[in-house]
Amino acid sequence: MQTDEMLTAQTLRGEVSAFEELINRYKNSVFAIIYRMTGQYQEAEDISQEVFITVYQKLYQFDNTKKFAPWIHRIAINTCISALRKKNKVALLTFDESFLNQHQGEESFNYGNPDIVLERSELRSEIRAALNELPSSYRSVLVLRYQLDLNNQEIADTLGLNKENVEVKIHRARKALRKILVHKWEERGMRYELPGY
Amino acid sequence: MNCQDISKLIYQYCDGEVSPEENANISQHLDFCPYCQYICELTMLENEVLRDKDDIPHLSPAFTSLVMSSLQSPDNNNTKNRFSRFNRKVWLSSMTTVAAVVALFLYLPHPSFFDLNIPLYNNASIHEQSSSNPSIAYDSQTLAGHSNLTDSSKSVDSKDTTPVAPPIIIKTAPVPDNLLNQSLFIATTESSAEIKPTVTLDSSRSIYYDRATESSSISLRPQNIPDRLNFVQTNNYENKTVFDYTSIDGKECLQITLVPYIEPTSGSKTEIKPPEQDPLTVTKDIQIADEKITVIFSGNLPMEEMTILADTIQFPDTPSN
Repeated sequence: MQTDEMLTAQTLRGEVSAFEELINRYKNSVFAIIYRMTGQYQEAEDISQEVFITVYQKLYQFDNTKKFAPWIHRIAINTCISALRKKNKVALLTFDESFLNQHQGEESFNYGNPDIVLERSELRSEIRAALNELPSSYRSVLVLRYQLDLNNQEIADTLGLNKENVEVKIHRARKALRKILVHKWEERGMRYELPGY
Repeated sequence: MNCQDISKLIYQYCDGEVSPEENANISQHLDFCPYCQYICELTMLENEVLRDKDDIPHLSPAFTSLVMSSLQSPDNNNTKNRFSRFNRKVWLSSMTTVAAVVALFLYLPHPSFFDLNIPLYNNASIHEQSSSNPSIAYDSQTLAGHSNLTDSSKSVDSKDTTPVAPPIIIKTAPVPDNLLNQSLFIATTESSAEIKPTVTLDSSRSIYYDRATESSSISLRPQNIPDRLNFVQTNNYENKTVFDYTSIDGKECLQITLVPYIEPTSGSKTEIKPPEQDPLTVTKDIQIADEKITVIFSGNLPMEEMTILADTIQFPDTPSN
């Protein structure tokens, strides 16, 4: 089986079928990233197409001594964020404390003493909704980690960060998700609890 | 460990990324702390949702063809931009090489030394020239391939735009003081021997002297490439040089990789990978003057042809068979 890097070299030599193979290899992961970022099928498909066109146009910039997967996934995330920004769907937040600061002081809840107990399926829906409210910078790091099962080093390669930063960012993203969840329940006058407690 | 310690490590714990010692401590704490059990279970549920892929719809089966058709569409403005950028680069590169040629021909004392009628960028032509007058063909080819001269020839003769494989440099030798005031010279057998007496040199061997680095080098370029394959590009890495060739229809490709010979075996040998492997790879060790290099052929040419090519490959400095 030919490696991705061999296929990129063949594409640069004008072999269209090699690029077709690259699309087939990466369309699902690219689409998964973008669908998780946008939450809409048609939009995700359109942006995925844009990603592959960009990849084709920038292929001559690809360093063939490096791995292709992080490169294309990085383009997917950047293209997606850029497309969403154009539609004003994304807050221009980077990986910083600003998001967490909005929800400071929410740590002290009376855990384990529920007023309302949510069903597990409801809880899953709540978590999914909270995920969609995360800033795109947090969402992208969580998608790479949990949807594509990338390790910290692979995420670092994809996002152009160092490994330690990735660890911090994943932790912050998880905390941000939890805070959104808790904030929602608080707004509805609920204390949250899992079934069985 | 108290609840605060646990809350700091809970995500790593649920992702299985804590040390065995931390894992044991957290598990012990969870056994008696309902608060942390609750947080742990919520975190695990979040993990489940984060990993869940069931709700991702399937991509349309026509997706690949849609992308391919949009790439081939003449309305793709971005593609146009890419090519305009590319052309700009080629234009600048061509102008630089033309300037280099002009400067070189003005500087050289005997420009008639070069037989400029020899087509340098067509494999078939090189073979013909080599068989009729190997000495001239080798010198001209090696010289032309050096220091942008090949590209310059191409720019001057705009009718044939087939690119030519540039030579690679395999070694350098110290240059005597009496030659240091030359910017470029072609070594004869005698002068080459003077540079490095231990090397048995062919009469047609070309040596390039770089005034800036005060070093000389020997240039190489593959020959005997089937006529239907055109040179595409060469990539130089720290320890290897890769020449890419492809047929006009793009269906056949050939990669020739030159790497330093390292195996402690003697004589020339040819290794062929099992044919079921794709692409076919043939490896051959070749002696060039006092240097030995390993040449790796890979691509989708027929195995027989690839083997013949490996057995007959020549370089400008390879002694003729």
